[in-house]
Amino acid sequence: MNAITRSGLLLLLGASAARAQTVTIGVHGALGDYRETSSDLRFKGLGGGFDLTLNWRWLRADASGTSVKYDSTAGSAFQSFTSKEAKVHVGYAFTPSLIGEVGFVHRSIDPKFTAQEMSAIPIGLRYQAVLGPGAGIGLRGDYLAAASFSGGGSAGLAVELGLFFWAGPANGRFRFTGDYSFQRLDRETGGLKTPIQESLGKLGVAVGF
Amino acid sequence: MRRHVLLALLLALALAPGMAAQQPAAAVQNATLKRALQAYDNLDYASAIKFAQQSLKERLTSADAARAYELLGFAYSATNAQDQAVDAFKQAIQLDPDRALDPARVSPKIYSLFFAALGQVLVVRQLKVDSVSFIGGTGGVPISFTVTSPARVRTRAVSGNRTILVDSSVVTGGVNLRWPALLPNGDPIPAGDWTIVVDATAGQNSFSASQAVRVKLGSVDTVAHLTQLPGYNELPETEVPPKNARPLGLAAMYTGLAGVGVLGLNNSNLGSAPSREILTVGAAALIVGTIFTLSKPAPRPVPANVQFNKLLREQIARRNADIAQQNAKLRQQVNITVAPLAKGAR
Repeated sequence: MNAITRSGLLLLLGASAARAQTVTIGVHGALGDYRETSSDLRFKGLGGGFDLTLNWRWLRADASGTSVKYDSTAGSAFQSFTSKEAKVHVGYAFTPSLIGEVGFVHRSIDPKFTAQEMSAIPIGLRYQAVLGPGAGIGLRGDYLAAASFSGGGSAGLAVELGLFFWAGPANGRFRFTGDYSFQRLDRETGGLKTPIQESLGKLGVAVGF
Repeated sequence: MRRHVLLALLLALALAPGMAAQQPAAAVQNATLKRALQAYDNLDYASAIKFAQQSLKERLTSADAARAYELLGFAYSATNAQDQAVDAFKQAIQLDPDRALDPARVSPKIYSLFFAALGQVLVVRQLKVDSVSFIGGTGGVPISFTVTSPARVRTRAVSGNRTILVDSSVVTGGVNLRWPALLPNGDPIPAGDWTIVVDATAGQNSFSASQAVRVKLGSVDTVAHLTQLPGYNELPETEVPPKNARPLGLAAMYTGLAGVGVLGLNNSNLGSAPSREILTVGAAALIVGTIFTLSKPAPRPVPANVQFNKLLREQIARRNADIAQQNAKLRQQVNITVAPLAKGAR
C-alpha cells in the first residue's frame, strides 16, 4: 500500500466518522513540469488524482494524491517516469480567511532512481477570499521542513507556493476546483547543487457532503 | 247662567282633544261606551256619565272597562264632581296600571285629579326590562318600574318552579334595579323563558306586575390571535447587493501574486520559470472571477432586519401567549342575553 492510498484511506475514515462535518471528495486532472539539477533535465507530464477535504468548526484537513507521467522535453535522452505525490495537511483557521497548516508530502518515483523521491513536512499559511456564494480563491505558502531525498542530500531552501480556487452553487454540493503548486527545493549533495523544481497544476470537480 | 255655559264650553274644548288623544275610538268595542264617548264629544256630560255607568254594567273587556272609568273621570271632572272623578280614575288605574295622561294634552285640573287618584291606589306601573347582553358575573339586567304609593316591593325572577329573589325593599316612586341573572351559587341562570314579577304590598293592599323575558346563554367571543402587530411589518431579511467587479479583481490579484511568486522563486539554474501550469490554473480562476462578476449577485442577509424580524416575532408570540391565556378564561365564561317578550308572546 503506497503513501497515496494510505493517506486517502486515513482521510476517508476520518470523514465517515464525522457526519456533521463538511466533506468534499473530488478528482482532478493534472499537468506538471519537473526539473532537476539543470535546465537540461526537464520533464513535462499529464496525469490525474483525487482530493479530499474535511472542515469541522475551526479545523481543516485535506489530502490529495496525484500521479503524473513525466516525459523528457529533450526527446528520449532521459527516461520517462511516473511521479506519485501524496499530500496531507491539517490546519486551524485563525480567522475564516487565514489558516495555519502543517502536513506531510511524499513524492515517489517509478521507476526508481529516474528522479529524486522526496519527503517533507510542509508548515505554512493559506489565505483565502470569497468570490461569491460557493466560490473562493486563495494563496498558500509552505516551508518544506525536513526535506529528504532518495539520493541523499539536503535542501537549504525548500518552499512551496500555491494558488487555489473553488466555485460552485452556494450550497457547496458541487464545486469546480483548481490548484497550482510550485515547489523549489535547493538540494545540495556533497557540496554540489542539485536543485529540484516542480510546477503542478490541477483542475477538477468535487462533491460535498 | 251664560257665564257657566261659557266656562263649560271652554272646558269641553280643552278636554275633547285630550280625550281623543288618550284612547282611539277604534279601540272601543262596546256600543254603549261608544254612545258615552259620543255624548262626551257633544259636551253632554250627563249623558256621557249615564252611558258610561250603563256600559260598566255590561260585559266589557278590561280595556273598555278602563276606558269607561276614565271617561267617567273626565266627565265628573267637567261637572266639578271631583271625588267621583278621583274614584273613577282609581278604578281606571286599577284596571290598567300603565294608563297615563299627557299633561300637555289634558287640562291641569283633570291631570291633578288623575295624579291624586294615582296616589290613592297601590299599583306597579311601567314595569320595564331592557334588552341586554353581558358576560355572566360582569353585568346585570336593568329592571325599572314605578310604585304609586309606599309599599314593600319584592321583585322576583320566576321560571317554572324556580324563583330567584332580585330585590326586596320598601319603596315608592321610580325604582331601578339591576338583576345579575345568576343563581345563588354564582352560576348563570338556565336559558329559557323567565318572568320578572314585582309584588307590592302595603297593608291589605297588594299589587303584582310582571314582564316575561327570554334568556339565552352563549359562549363569549374569544380574541383572535395576532399575525402581525399594527404599524409594524416584517422587513426583508435579504438584499441583493449591487453588481461589482470584486470577484474578477480578486481572481486577477491572486493569480498575479502567484505568478509573481513563481517568477521570484524560480531557480534560474533550471531555466526560465514554468508557465503552462500557472497560466492554466490562473486562466480558470479568472474565468470563475469573470462569471461571478457578471452573474446576478446572490441575496445576502441583512442582520439588522433579521434582528428586527426576530424581535417582532417574539413580541407577537408574547402577545399571542397572553391572548391564549385570556381566551382560556373567556371560554369558561357565559354570555347572557336577555330580551323582554311582548305580552302573549310566550
